[in-house]
Amino acid sequence: MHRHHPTQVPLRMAAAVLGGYAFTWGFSALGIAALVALGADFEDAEAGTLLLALLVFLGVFLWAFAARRIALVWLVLAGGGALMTVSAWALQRLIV
Amino acid sequence: MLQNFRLSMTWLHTWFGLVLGFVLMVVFFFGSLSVFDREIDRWAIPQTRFEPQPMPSFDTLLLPGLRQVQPDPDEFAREAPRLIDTTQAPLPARESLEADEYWAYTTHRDPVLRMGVGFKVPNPKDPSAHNHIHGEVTIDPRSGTPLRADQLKIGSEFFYPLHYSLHLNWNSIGIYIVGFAALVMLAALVSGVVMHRKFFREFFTFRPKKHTQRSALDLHNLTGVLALPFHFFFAFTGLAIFVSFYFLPVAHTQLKPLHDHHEVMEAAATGLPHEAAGVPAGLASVDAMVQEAKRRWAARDMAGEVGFLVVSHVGDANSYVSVYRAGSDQVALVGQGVHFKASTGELLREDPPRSAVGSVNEFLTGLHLQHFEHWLLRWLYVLGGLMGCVCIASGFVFFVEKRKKQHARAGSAGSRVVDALAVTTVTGMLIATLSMLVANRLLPADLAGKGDWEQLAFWGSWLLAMAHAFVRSAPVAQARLNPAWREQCWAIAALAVAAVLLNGLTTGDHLLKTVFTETYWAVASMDLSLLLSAAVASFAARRLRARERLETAPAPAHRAAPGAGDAAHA
Repeated sequence: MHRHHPTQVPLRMAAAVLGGYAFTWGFSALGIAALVALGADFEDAEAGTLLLALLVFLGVFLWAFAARRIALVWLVLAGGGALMTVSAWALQRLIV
Repeated sequence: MLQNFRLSMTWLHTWFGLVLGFVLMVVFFFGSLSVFDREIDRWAIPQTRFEPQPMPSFDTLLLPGLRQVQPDPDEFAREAPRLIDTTQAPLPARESLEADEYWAYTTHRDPVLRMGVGFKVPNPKDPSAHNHIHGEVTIDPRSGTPLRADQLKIGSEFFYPLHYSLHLNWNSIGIYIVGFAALVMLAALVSGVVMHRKFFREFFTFRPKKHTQRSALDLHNLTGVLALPFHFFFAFTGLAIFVSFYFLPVAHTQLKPLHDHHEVMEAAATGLPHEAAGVPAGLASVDAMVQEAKRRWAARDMAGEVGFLVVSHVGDANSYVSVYRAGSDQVALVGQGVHFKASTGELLREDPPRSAVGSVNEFLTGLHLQHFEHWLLRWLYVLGGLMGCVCIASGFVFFVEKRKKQHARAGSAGSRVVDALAVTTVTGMLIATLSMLVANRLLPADLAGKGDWEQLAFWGSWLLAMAHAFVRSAPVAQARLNPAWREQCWAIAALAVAAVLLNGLTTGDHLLKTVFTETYWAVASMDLSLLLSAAVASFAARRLRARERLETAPAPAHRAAPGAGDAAHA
């Protein structure tokens, strides 16, 4: 608790909160868009995806503290979040 | 981050739990009170102490009242400049806004009825947005008489919003703080399970006679694990209630085009007009529509009362009336909507049963909001919520007990500050709550702005309790107990008894009457709960006194704590 590098804690917290949020946002957007594309009702897609998204956020939040390499955490959360968000955008343009 | 998984989870649990614990304490405690928010309202506004009423006649009673409702001045001042495009015309007068939506809501626990109006704004900046400014009123449904707006419903208008928004309304910041705290609660539950190697053995361990650090940890584990499903469920469903509007508003931002596309298609499928026609039209008898809706529910073998009633696009040819069945016998708040054309009373649509996903969502949020009729479950919710409070409070105590000797040696103020904040959040919060109730009974009923004074009593006494906690905190720096814990326990006991006495004196509704002669459980349960709180607080104060004596005793004192199990105070 006392021996880690001083920048470690803020970096982990930022990864967990901001990175975790970005990842969860991407997951939600892509999840809803994909389900609607597959023919699901929008409200059902939204409700189901968001319930799952809360658990996804919890999972990545914990992982951000537990993972050995912080760089990997940032890569997956920020990179994955951005990728999913952009994919959701593209998918929406195809549907509407 | 740390050497292994378990240690990183311990770090997360300790520090996030400590910082957000202060928020979670407020959320859990006022959430527990919100289970009985309507009953607290009855206690605080004596003129509303009568039996719950069904939805009264819309045509003769609600409609005349709704026509009197004005846009809320605060909301108008805040929202009008944001919604209205003033380059086309200057801001309209508040009274000139036209009604676009009427609603009325009641439950099996409501003697009084809340209803309101959504007013449409002229020249909106974004025509596709929800351009409403609201106004609402609470009436006595037997006569239609409105309740004074400055009479604060302490349960449903103060404790309940405190539970989910902390009354920090600027940009809904309070809702986001509570939401983050709920996420941390979930993380603390998972990490709390992970950090214990002997999970089940610790679960069955409680050593109240051991030193404070050990028994605080035992109590923390006991209340955390025993109510683990409850804590997880409520943190999760609390997030679920707000997620689509606040935490992940994907459908209202990034996917708004997809969402709007769906809404227009849905309006076409249901036959319920999404937009007003712009052609004026009258309103047929809503009471007749209510009768028809009730007949249809009875025909489906689910006879019931009206819980929620909405008139959309008021005064327009596209106006329609939606009648929803009260959820007293189902987990969903309301349901089985039946919709009528407002100008003719012609049936437009009867809602089909919910989809599977919709049902799950409604079940989860409905169980959290609990508007259905089940008094035993209601009390179990209070019990679960209070166990959450004990869990958090014992977490604070353990944090301090574990560190205070070391901090005393090192001359650090850390545990002293945390302890004072814990006093503020645990006993100080109770003092604030009780002071508000005492103020409610002491202030004259016709005092203008009475609700504001009551809120002042709440925040003012909480601030005083905080000052007291810090002023008295010096012993913690010598690894001893802060006497503020004990002193505030006595204050809680005194205030709780005072509230019960004042209720009896100022309203004549003493316990003999509310329990025996003219039974009225809403008020009787409040008084009995207050007396029970006083008993628990004085028991705690006596135990704390005993611990303090042990600490200051010159000889190595390893006697059993005296005063245990004092029957007169249990």
